[in-house]
Amino acid sequence: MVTRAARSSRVTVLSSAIVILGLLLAGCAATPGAEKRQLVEVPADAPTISAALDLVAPGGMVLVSAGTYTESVTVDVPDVTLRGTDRNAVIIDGEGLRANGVQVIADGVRVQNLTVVAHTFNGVLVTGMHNANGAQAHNLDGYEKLDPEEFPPLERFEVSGVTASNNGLYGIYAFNSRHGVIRDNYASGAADSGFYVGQCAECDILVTGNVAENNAIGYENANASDSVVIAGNRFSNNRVGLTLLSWYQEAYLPQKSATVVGNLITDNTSADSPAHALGAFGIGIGLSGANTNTLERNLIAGNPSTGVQVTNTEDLASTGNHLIDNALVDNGVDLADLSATRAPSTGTCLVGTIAARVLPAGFGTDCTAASPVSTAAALPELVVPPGVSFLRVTAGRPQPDFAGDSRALPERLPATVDMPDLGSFALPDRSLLADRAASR
Amino acid sequence: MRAVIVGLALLLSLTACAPTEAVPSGPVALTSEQSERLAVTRFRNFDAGVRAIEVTVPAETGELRLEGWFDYTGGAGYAAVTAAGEPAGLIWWTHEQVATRSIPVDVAPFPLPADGWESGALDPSSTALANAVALVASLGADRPENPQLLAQSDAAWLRSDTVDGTAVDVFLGPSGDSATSAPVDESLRARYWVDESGVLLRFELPQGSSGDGMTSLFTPATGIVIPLTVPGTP
Repeated sequence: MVTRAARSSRVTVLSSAIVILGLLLAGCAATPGAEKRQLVEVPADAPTISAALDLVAPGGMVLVSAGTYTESVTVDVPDVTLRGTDRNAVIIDGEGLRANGVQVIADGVRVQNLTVVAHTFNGVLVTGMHNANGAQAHNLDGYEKLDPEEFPPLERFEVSGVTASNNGLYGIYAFNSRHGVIRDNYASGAADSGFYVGQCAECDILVTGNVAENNAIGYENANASDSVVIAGNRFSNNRVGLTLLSWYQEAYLPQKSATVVGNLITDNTSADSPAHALGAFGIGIGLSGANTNTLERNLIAGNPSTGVQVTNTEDLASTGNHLIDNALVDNGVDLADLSATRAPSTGTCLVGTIAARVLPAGFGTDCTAASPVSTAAALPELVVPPGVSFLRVTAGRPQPDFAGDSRALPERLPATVDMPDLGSFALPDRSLLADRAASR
Repeated sequence: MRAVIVGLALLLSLTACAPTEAVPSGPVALTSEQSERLAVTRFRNFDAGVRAIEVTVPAETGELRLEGWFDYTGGAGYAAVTAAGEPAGLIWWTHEQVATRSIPVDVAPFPLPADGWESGALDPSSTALANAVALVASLGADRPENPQLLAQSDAAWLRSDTVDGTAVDVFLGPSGDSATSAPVDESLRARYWVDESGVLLRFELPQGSSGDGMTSLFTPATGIVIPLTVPGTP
């Protein structure tokens, strides 16, 4: 035993020496010919995730072992995979102080199988908008509209198997980014939305297999247009399930042509959630200045204010949104037009969609003419529960771990997303992804 | 290249320190860590729920003191008031309403007295006392502020200090601060004593020409429940 202990301590010393040597070499990282590595393990090869990212080669992987990491991580190496060995035990903790958990500012990055908690802004932020001061995106107030010419979109990303809880703005946020996948994640306790895709045209972004609960909003989609596919997600038990909207603070107005298929958007009545910034509650889907979107085979039920709400964004009307084969049941009002007279909605069109309670009557049946106008006063009056501090929303349940060989380096992300067959997403029932949700 | 930059930075800082021992004296622009901490200060009050307050307000008739609590989750405050050292009564307030009870008491009792209250709309411009309680109410927010915007603002670090033995940084709030509609003049802007986790321990608005200055100390509170309706009404 003594011999073995002595040998093992010698091994430790030796490996420490290698680590130190590696760190010294890393200090000269930008020197031509310096060795970068395909696989860097935390903490075995580098004490922090940030230090590991200084060592990893483009296309390589930072593999993080169980532990709580109190650092704000910026991934600025192209085609790198940042992966945890244990989704529920690799925790990047903002301690209610730091703004962002993981900021991705390089093309082709994957973030997988880890947890980000207690950041004052975002759990994971993927953004093409960054400068010497770090990553940026839109903010709550005071920002000028962002210029996509100055900051071209980030290309190719994947955020999968990430748990993002108790973050002060968004759990997982893709901004000014294209050709990406947001898959099999879990987000709760966000003071704005669990998931957010913003500011992209011809986005080519797939959002699938995610669970959002106990957020102010489950999924938010602002000025993200064309090829955004939101399929097979569970956006239930928030204050608002899902929104598609135009927003003047971001480029690429107006929002248009997203596809929302096979999602569960039910019972958005969470009292264990931060307040919505405008006090919204009990709403399944909100369309605001939203255009030519397709909502197909979604179960939108048990939302005591409204199943689907259609309104304007300032002078931008909602136009040409098609609801096909959805089930709109047991909502306060199943479908309501709340557009202002300055920008009345047109062409909201129900096809094969069950909707018993519609305001005003006849709304959604005329697929071409201007819809008549209603007002919010006609909606059920609800007692809105007080907002909970985003740090105090109850944590979710443990989430399933990465299925493959966690040490295997994945292929470079493709130039465009391999979109699934949308026909494979059936109208769900309340069991969709229920095993991952705390509220069922 | 990174090593070269680090080396240069070290050299510059050594150079800067060379002539005298550099003791920073404010105001100094916020570091990113400081702006993140100041950005959560109001949210920390909301997160805490009820906080105990001790407010002093200069007044020509003698200093006003309030000892009580503000519930940043519910949005209501309650305190005993003394004027020039003599008990003067009770005050209850929200963001919109205020009620006073002019029967002297030594400490604010629970439950709140059921009678003797006079209530009305809270107009911060009406009296120094109304201004002070409105300021206390404004020091909470249900979400953090934007640290990047704070870092770009004229908010600044003033000095290190302690409050009841706890190490704090004293920050100068930005001009145009939503809590105080703060002027550009630094000498009139709000000051925040903030601990390492962003918790506000002391707030001060310097007394300006309008006589609206006040100071509030903040401490933890447990088991305090403040009614959200005007006392004496159902």
